[in-house]
Amino acid sequence: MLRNFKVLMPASLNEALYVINNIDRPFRFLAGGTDVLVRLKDNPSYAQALIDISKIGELAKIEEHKSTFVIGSGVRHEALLAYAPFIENYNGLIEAVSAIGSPQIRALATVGGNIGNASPAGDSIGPLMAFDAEVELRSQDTNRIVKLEDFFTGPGKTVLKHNEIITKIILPKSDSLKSGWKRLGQRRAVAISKVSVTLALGFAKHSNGSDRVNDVRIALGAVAPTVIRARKAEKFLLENQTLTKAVVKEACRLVAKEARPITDIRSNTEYRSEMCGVLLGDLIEKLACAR
Amino acid sequence: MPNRNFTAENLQLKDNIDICFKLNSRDVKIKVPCTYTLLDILRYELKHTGTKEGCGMGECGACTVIMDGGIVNACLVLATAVSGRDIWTIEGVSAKEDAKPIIDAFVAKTATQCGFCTPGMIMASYYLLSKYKDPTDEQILEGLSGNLCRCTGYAKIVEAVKAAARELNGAKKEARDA
Ligand SMILES: Cc1cc2nc3c(=O)[nH]c(=O)nc-3n(C[C@H](O)[C@H](O)[C@H](O)COP(=O)(O)OP(=O)(O)OC[C@H]3O[C@@H](n4cnc5c(N)ncnc54)[C@H](O)[C@@H]3O)c2cc1C
Ligand code: FES
Ligand code: FES
Repeated sequence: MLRNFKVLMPASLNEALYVINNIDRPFRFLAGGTDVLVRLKDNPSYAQALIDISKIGELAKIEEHKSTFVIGSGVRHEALLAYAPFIENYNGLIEAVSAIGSPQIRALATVGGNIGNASPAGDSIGPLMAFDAEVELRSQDTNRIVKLEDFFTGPGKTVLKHNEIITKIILPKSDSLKSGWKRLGQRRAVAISKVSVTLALGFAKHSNGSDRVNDVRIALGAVAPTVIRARKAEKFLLENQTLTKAVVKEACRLVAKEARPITDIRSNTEYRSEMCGVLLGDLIEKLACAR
Repeated sequence: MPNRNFTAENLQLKDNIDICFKLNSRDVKIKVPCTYTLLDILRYELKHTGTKEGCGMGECGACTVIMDGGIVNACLVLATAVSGRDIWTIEGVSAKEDAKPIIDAFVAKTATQCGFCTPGMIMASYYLLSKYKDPTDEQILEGLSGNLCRCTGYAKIVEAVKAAARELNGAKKEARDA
């Protein structure tokens, strides 16, 4: 049974901002609680106080704007999966989020919690990063927007200040991108990713009528201290434009080199690096053929 | 920011809280330690022991209950988050007419051995069959992916869910034809 922490229940975002500005002890937010409560069970000193933000309605909305979608940090994975525009145009995001935990977990867990937890294996992070998402961070008197790529500083570490909260995830519209996500885990459900790869590709026509790649985004999960973009492989594919067998093979080799995995209980370094290349190859094939 | 908007009550660091929620359509009002989960409240305070505690960490699904219409792990819902919710447990669901074919099918197909996972499996199956009238194998596996069983090997559970779906659809058809 859990013990030794206290709970605060701000009723609005403003109250939450006031609370974190004034609280005098180490705290965690309780959004879905699926990370926090598990951590507290293992390690009772993980937090002395929980700030329950699970019922703050303002944080739980998805809005469509002219060139962006704005996802409240309190949006649950299940709600994100049901949002029609994402089903249509963000296949990589949908694939990743539908693999998180189980139906029971996805009904509780939030997008903001997946980001706030800052695990290099956080499955929604890769696709969001590939789509160039940003997060809005608010304190009682500041408001800043940070690229998701710049938000994480290490496993469990972010640029979030003690008096800030993630309010929104800002997702640029990208109707022209085709995307996909793949992972390797111990098994299909309720498993932490050993390696995950997100790929988003934009295509245009060459002057000679053949297809060329005009936009490439690759994100790698669980193979570095944070989720990362594979910039070298992205650049290589963009420069080569045409997805010949040789080009794809070289991109897979490059991506395996960009990974900086560790060996841990779930897998070892060599396997993880190599699998980045394999998963990227699968995704390129899938996206190029699906057109 | 105007401090008067802050109701002192909810901005105190609390050890215990009063919560109100609906449990199997009855109103419950109770004071519990803030560190209690919904599972603790059900089992230790309300003596509703049909909901099981396996892992206590969201992995096994033995504690599956329905909260506001969706299935969740009761071991991962903290007391503060229970307030105001509509909760259904195996005690309430098993008394429902449309759950009977599911329970009967679990018995008929021997989809239960030690029985520890069974309440959670029934809850997940009940929710699954409320979403899909005639689920595919893929939908059944996905729908039960948060529930572990150490005994049956799952095949019999999947068979039971399919049999229950047939029974439920047949029953509906009979009601329409009559
Ligand atoms: C059985 C099980 C399986 C899982 N499977 C997966 C999986 O396959 N893939 C995966 O990626 N994850 C998985 N997880 C981890 C977890 O479910 C996700 O990371 C989830 O998205 C966390 O969201 P939450 O709302 O529950 O976060 P919480 O536990 O409420 O919070 C997590 C952290 O984020 C911080 N936080 C929450 N909201 C905010 C905010 N608005 N601003 C700033 N910080 C905030 C909290 O302070 C805390 O440190 C699994 C967990 C369990 C228990
Ligand atoms: S006891 Fe809740 S999931 Fe295992
Ligand atoms: S019947 Fe024993 S765990 Fe499922």
